[in-house]
Amino acid sequence: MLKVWLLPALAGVLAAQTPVTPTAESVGSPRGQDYGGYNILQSWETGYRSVDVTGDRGKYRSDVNYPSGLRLFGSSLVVNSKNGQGRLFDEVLLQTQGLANDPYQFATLRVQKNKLYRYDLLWRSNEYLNPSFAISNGLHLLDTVRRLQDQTLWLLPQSSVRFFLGYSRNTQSGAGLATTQLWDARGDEFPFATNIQREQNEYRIGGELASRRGYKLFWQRAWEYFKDDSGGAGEAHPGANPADRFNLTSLRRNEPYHGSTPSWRLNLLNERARVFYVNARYNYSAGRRAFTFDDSAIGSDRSNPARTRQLQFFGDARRPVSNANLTLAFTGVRRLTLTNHTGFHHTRMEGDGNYREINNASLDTELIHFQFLGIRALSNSTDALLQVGDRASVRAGYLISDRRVRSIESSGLPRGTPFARSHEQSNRLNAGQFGVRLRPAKPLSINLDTEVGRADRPFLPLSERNYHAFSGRAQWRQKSLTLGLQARTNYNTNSVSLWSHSSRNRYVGADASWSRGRRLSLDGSYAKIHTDTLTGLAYFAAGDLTSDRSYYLSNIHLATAGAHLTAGRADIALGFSRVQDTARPSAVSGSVTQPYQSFPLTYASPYARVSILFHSKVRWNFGLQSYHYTENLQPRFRGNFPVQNYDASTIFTSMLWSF
Amino acid sequence: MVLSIRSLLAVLLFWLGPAGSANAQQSTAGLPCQTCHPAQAGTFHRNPHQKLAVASGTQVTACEGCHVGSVRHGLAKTIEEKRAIRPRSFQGLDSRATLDACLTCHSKDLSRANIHRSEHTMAKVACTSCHSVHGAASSKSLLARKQSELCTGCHTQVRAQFNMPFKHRVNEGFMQCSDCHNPHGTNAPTWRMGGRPRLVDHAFGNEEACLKCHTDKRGPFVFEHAAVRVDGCETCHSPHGSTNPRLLRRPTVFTLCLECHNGAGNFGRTGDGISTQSASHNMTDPRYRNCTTCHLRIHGSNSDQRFLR
Repeated sequence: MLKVWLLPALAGVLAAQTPVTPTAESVGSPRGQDYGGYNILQSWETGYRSVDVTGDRGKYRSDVNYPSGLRLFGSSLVVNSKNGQGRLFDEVLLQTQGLANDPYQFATLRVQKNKLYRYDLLWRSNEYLNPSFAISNGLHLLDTVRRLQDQTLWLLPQSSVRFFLGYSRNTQSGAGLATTQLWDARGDEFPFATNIQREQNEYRIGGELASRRGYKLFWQRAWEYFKDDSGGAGEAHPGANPADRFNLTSLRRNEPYHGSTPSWRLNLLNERARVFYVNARYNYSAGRRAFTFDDSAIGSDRSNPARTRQLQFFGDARRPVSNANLTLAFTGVRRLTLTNHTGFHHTRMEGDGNYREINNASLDTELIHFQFLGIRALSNSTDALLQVGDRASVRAGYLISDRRVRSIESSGLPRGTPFARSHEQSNRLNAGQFGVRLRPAKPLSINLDTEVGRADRPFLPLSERNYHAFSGRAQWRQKSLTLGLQARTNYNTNSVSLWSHSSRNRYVGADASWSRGRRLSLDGSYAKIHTDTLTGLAYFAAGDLTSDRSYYLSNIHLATAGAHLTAGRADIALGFSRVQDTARPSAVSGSVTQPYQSFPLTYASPYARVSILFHSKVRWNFGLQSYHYTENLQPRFRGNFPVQNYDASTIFTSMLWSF
Repeated sequence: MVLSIRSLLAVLLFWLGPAGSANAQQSTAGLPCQTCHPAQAGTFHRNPHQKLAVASGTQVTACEGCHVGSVRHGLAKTIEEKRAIRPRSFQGLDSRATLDACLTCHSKDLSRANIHRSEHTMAKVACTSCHSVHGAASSKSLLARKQSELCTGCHTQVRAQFNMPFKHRVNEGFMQCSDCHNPHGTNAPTWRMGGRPRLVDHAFGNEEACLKCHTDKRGPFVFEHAAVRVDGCETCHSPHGSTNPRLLRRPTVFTLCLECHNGAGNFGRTGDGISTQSASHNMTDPRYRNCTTCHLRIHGSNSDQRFLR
């Protein structure tokens, strides 16, 4: 009976919910092939994926998003000079995944020549759709492509004086759906389509200077430029509440938002000290954004059948940020490591805007807003690690952090009296840590950690105030067998007079993996994540201020299983992953929030893949992976939420080859 | 076709080929060792340590650099002598000794400037727990396995979170753990109280890691949502994965908002409680339960104090 139970338990960490493509197996000689003075290792996987979705396709695109089509599922090219003295390069490393229209694509490239240069490129693309029912009742949507790239060129990378040039780019473009609220505070919400166009470019230049005494000075100058040229337009719409008398005939909105953030970074660290290590860093950035907001709407409200409104807003916002860090480490005593870290951070945010509104319900108004938010934080932490014998070590740490938040709100009407309100408050946190590492036997390691913290005046009701956290982990690793157990708890209470917030988070998990040579491997894991929070609420219900409690409950069970078998020329991989939140909402009489505090669902994804080696350089692969998403919410708790269940199957076939 | 590609490649690489490559393999710095340790030496020409050793003409990054004593061990004439001179082995080496050995060269890298105080060092996680000099899955960073597998091998709760319906695309390969985390240790966070989390790296040197990609949330804005700037994105979002849309901490947005906006205590920017919603909001009416339908610019706005536009 034990054996019957043990086998499934040992099956699959490999699985997680890792996509079945690209194929994990390799082709060609692991030692590569020699051409000239270079050694080459390469493989390319091309194939076709077919997708079938039944149910909510939008939710499938939000979670998984793989479409049908021909793909370069993955590729790898490694070229190395054998003696480290290539003419133009000593290493070329190229890896790609999902090219040719997969929603998740990346390519990395490294080209380097020893002692002369090293060039790194990382390019990524993510296509993402989110219907966001839970936050806007389906009136918001995001269907964008985000592309990221980072490039860095190091010159003289192994020398004591080296330089670099860097460039990063981040773009987001696509369609969106947003809402606007018209025509007054008790008006209606109207959807409008947006064209999202965001772009960020960062240029970096810097260098490092190393002294013979082991000190290193790093400097970087960077310029970040951001621009958001998103705009939107809305057509005739009765609004989210068609029963009222608010209507929209047309809406046009432009809100360009451009700016730059130049920054400096300096770092001084020593590298050769064996007793005393120092790392000092200073960073300064001066963010600035200029904006205009031009919005014109035509429609009708409760008393005016022909309502127009035009808003114009322009100004700028500034945020200079300084932060400095100093780390000291002492390793002079054989079994003891002592470190101390001080962090300082100062942010000042301010801005002004000129507001002009023209509408046919009231006169032209002009208003100048100004707001300041300053944050200054100072933290110091000391940690000690002591080795006790050969089989145990103890760590202890203490953190003290002090933060001051200062804000000034001011607002001025040219024809009125400007006003300003100033506020300041400070928070302090003291936290202690203690941990033990034990190795009672060679294959067994046990880690136990705890942290207790006390904050005098947390910023938010949900922030940590009186908290304690505990975590324990035991791992048995012997030859091909690994067994692991983990547990974590995190409790926090944040109470003030007449009000309280408490949260409890518990995690328990077990995992196991076993292999028999390269022929068979089995993995499996189970985890339970429990979260419950209890928070006092106050809100208006039918004009009366109402007290209530928010009780959020989540019980997530996660199981994964996987197996990999090699039989002759065939490799077979099987995997399974299942997430289930079993918490059920409870209806409490008079509570507005309680029915919406849990969201039971099941999300499962099994997969199978067969890979057959036809030739030492060619493999044929076939696999399938399915996704099943089911919301288990009872209709009486569902409210306005639509059911988003779906079942999806993906099938692929590919050739993995090396020439 | 395949032949022509190979020919083309051969011509190209011959032209680019290393000067004096005829004797390429002979210049391998670890040559004497490969006689008895062919498994370790077989693919060592791809290893950055080897290439640097050859280029610099020193033993520092070849066998002797890490396995101190290997030259004497190699030169020993008899098996008994070889057994008597045991080069430093990293198998079973204490984590601090391993760290010291690697930092002999690698402490110069800025990303490891906080390694002595990192959570991993304190937890006795040695360099060789993640990196494999001889059996690396990739020559870049010499990681023993794919990065996400390495990290989630220990951080199983994070693996569970990445299996949720809403998650950052780490399993899919679009992101890596090191996009947000520096496993070698980081400076104190500039958000929350400068304490936890300890291995989350800064974006742009002083911003929360999320803003590296989500640049439109970076601001600055004339009207900042103070919760975002003071306590950070994690106030409302679960960064790894969630069963809730947009990685929110609650299934519906209004319960999340109301838990702070309840007017209680001495919280918030003004120190006298975070304002409750206006009396015009009737929470028994479902239309008021989608806060962000009206409060659209919830991360920060340039034109409205209440983030309406």
